[in-house]
Amino acid sequence: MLPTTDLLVDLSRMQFGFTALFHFLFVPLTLGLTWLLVAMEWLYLKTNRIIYRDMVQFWGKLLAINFAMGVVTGITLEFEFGQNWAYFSRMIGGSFAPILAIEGITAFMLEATMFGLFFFGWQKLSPRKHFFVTVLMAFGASLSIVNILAANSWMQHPIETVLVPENMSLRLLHLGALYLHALAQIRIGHVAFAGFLIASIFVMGISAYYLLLKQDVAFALRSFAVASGFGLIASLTVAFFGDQNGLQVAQYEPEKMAAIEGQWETQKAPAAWDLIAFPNQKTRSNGFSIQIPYALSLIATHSLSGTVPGVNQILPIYENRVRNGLRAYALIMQHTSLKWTPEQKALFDVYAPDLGFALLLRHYLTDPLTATESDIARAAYSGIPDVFACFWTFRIMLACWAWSTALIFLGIIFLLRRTLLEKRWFLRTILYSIPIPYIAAEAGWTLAEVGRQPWTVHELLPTFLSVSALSTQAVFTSLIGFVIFYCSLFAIELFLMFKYARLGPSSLGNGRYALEPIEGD
Amino acid sequence: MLPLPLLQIIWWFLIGLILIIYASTAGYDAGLTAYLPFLKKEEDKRVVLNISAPTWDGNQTWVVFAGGGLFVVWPMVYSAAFSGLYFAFIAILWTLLLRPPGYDYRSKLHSHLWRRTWDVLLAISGLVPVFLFGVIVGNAFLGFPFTIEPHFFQPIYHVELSHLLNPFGLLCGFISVFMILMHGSSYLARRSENELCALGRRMHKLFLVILSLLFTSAALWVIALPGFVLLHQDADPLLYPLQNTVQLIPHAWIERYHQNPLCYFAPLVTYASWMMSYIANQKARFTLCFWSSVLSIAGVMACVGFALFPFVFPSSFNLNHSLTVWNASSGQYALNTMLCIGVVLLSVTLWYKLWTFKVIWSKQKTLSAKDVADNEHLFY
Repeated sequence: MLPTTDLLVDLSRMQFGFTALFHFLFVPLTLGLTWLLVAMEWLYLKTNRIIYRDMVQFWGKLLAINFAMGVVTGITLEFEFGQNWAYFSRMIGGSFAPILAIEGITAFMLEATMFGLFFFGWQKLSPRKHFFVTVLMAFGASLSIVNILAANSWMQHPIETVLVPENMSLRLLHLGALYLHALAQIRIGHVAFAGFLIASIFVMGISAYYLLLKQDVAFALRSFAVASGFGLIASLTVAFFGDQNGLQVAQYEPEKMAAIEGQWETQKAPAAWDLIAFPNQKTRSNGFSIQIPYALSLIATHSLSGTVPGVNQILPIYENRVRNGLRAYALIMQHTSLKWTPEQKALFDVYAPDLGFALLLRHYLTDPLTATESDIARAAYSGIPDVFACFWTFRIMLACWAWSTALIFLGIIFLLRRTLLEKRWFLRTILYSIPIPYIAAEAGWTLAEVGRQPWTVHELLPTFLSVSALSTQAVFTSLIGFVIFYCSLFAIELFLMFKYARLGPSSLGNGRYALEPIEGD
Repeated sequence: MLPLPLLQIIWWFLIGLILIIYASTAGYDAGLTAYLPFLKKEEDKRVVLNISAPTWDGNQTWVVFAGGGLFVVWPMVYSAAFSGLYFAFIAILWTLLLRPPGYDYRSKLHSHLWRRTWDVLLAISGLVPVFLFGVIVGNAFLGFPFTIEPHFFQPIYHVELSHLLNPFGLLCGFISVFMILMHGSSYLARRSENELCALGRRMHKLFLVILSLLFTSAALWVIALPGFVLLHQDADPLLYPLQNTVQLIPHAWIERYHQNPLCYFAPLVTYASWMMSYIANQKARFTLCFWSSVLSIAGVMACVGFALFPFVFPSSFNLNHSLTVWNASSGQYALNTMLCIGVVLLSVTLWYKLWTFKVIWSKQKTLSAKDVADNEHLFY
């Protein structure tokens, strides 16, 4: 392996982080809105009222504008694994790539093909068949989440995989297990319902805008009603899966859990929960904090007798694993072209699970075999993610979810009491709250990925070793390019989105709605 | 489980098949959008856009399939190629990325400047990736300047890759471009009416003649080039991927054809389908013309694949580190599992793709400016 500079690693991470988070600005809306369209089109099939078909077509237009950006930013990610993370890609090609490939074949392909039919099939398909196409489109979008989360969960907790030392690759033992693992399934649910929540607030917010203007009221009220019902289910389910996800993290990634809760020392059960704190990675302590007694045990373990292991209790375990890993490392360095004997392989297999910890030393030493005790302590501490980032992204996610859920509850109450049109403050609030669930989703992903550091594949492959052997100038240039390119496309997207959202259903040009005929369109 | 070498060969065929499907579906879209900046009337542009619009997205997705396939079948090739040819792939990516907004956004505003800009961007987004894919394939005949670190197997590049744009690489790039221009023109002739159809017919013939001349000269060039030959490899090339003995031997690329004369079917099919396509165009048999064009694309790809086999990503810097079908693939379990899944999914995919084409085109074989005007708010 080439010695990689910190700058190269940071730039590569920034580029991937930027493009991935950018991608996720568009994915959840596609994910949720497609199912909302299914609901609306189903109402059209049942009632045969034209307003429902108009709803499908109008919200479909907004979907199209959003979808184009989702496609653009999605292809980037598939390229980037090979471009910026060559070593990662080579090592995990046999275990992680199958899921990614299945995603491409099933989800991406189905979604993209049905997307074309959805728009161009209105006159060519019977209503029943068109509904079927819409369902397939939504199904394709959701399949995408299933696969991506199965792949990502494997990175968080690599199961059913063995390290082959001869060619340094990870061999997969059982593909199905990657989908069936509880961690993957819970996270699939969590992300899918987060998307439904985002789409619900999106449709509610834009409908609120028409209600504020008293424009196309019947159309807007119906859209609002469908979305709020959908949103209620989504917000409760996303919380359920999120809670379950927490239990899994505590089990498989205790260091991430410690970071999320800012636990430096293990508390005695029942442990108190830090609502607010300012963790400091250098002094290994929290600044000012506000605590709620008993709450941590309840949140993290669902009992009063459980607790969350603190960073200082995890470190000795890590130091031991570094020492064990060095034995496996020494075996690898003995072999360049010589064959492995069965005894050496057997010995390697004993220490292989800890090899990743020895690789952490590569950050400080060109030859980890010369490591001193202080190097080992340093490497072990580098195994702890950034506590401040984990602590706060978690709380931001939580706060944004609570806000969105409250809005949905209020919306349903006002809707049932038929006072929605009078509550202008509420309509305005929900319009401006469209970005809130997006922030929750972005914070959630940041937490998942920052919390997995310093690993790309948990406890197997450190992030700083996963990068391609590129020059820093190359990655810097492409990063700047991505920022400029994406931001200009985003500006265009937002411009069109605002334009069509303002036009409302009149943009369908069927003469049934306000603001027609449209000038300049 | 199937034996590993068999799996490796099957996957070599399948990746080839996927690339052929990509080139012959997204290829005609790319060929069509190249017309946009050169058409004068907005109605004509809308027709060109809308004869590909219902399926462009599904067509472009084959590149995702190909990329994912490369990742899972030959992870070493995927990582070495995508990181080593960094800026080539960045250029491919950034231009490809203009396509979805180009199709989706172009006709959503009425401004002349707006539409004119997207016309040019769409043309670029079609031609640049096609050109670069051609350049990369061409360079495979010359090898790429990388080695692989022997303990942890990280690919390392030794030269700046501006040398990708060498004369032979450029020639292959242009072959690739004219191939999709020819293909796009045959599609235009098939799906449009009157003047547009006539334009497609004229251009198809022109591009076909240029393409066959370029292809023939490249083929002669390849025969003259020294070729990579795998003389020896480890008994288990997957476990010990660097234990190869590879040599450069004069005229070796054509050697495969001599060893296995069945390979000669590839150039034979290529030239025959070009002739067929030309004659069909002459006789206004547009469907036959289009499908012959598809067959010729398959022929060209097969010519390249047969010559290179078993090399996928040869190294010019350290010949022995060349990546082949045998030493660069995933393990048996991954290949076998993905084969089972892949065959099922590929069949299902092809089935619903064909259904989609049928829905769009079964009642109405061509699109006219009037159809676009009638669907102003639904069409692109």
